[in-house]
Amino acid sequence: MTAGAVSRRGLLLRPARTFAQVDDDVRIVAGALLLERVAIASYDVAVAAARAVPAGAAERGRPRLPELLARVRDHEREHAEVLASKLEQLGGRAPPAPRGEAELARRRAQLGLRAPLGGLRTTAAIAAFALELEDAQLTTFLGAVRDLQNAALIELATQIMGAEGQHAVALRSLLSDAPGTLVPDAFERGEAALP
Amino acid sequence: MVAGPTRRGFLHGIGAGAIAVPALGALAGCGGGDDAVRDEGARLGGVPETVPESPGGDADLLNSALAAEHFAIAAYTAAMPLLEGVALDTARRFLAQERAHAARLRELVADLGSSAAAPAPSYDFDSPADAVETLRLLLQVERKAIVVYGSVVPRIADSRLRQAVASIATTEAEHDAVLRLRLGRWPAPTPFVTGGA
Repeated sequence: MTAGAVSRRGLLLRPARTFAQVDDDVRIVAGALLLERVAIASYDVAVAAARAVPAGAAERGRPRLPELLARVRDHEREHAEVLASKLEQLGGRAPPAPRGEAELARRRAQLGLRAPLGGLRTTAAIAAFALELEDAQLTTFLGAVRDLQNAALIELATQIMGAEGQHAVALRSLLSDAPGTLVPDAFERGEAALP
Repeated sequence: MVAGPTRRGFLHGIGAGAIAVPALGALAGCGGGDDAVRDEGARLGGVPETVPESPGGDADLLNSALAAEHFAIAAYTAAMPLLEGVALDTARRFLAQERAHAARLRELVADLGSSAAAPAPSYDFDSPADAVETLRLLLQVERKAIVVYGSVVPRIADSRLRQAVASIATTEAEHDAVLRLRLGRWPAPTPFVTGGA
């Protein structure tokens, strides 16, 4: 079969994307972007809190907490940047980033994030706070991979999910080095219990 | 690129005591090349803008993923005699998870009425001299798997299958992160995980 024939057959088999499908993609990308922006603001709070946590015995043999959190936050910023660009290409409107801790707390509550912004005084508390964010993102992007129609967006969501999974590993490593803690399940769904 | 103090602090923090592989300290001065933070977001081309609708196509795609799992299972099986301590525990756990992935993929292929791909009769691996080289080889295997999944997931037409396979793909990215930790590297070097160099 010639390449031209394959291409023509492909065109015949692939239905044109409807406006409703594009609207769905806009909604999904906007939702993912909102969560990324809430994550960025939440990591800002966590980084500041982590600087006040003394590196005690529990942290020996682990990555330095503020640097790890800052690095993860920088990844979230890159995710948000690309998602905002994709959203603009789709004709969607980007949700604003939360301004101030009161708005952040309200947005977090709307997204079902339960960990309080206050009380981040230990490595364990900060790791749990950040892991809740990563699990929420994993769940969101897993849903996005299922529901998106645009293959390039599905590819992007898969790549971001991989990064969120790696963030989760880095955060879990703050709590334990056991392989069963670092990758607790063969199928990542963003639902791992805290070690 | 990772800031020097940050990377040094992390390498120091990981410490030889936490990782039962020889010559870990020798890694401190190398391996930085693929730890660099790169903008891999540009690598989003090469896939069609719409997902092809073809149940037969989904079975082929699942079999591509299954072939990557067979390769990984063979690699972890071959690697275990060369590892000890927490590195061996890690390989043992990941082997079990790769087997779980393969079993799930076989089920999904069967559900589509197709035949699951069989493992190759044999696989050629480099001959690692020590535990560190073995972990590096396993890291390469995981990265190959991530490349395969990155290609497969966007092309799967059935949304539920796509989600199931993406869940596995993310676990492979997590394996990659843990192997990096075992090698004294940053576990999450890039914001977009493609499995690329």
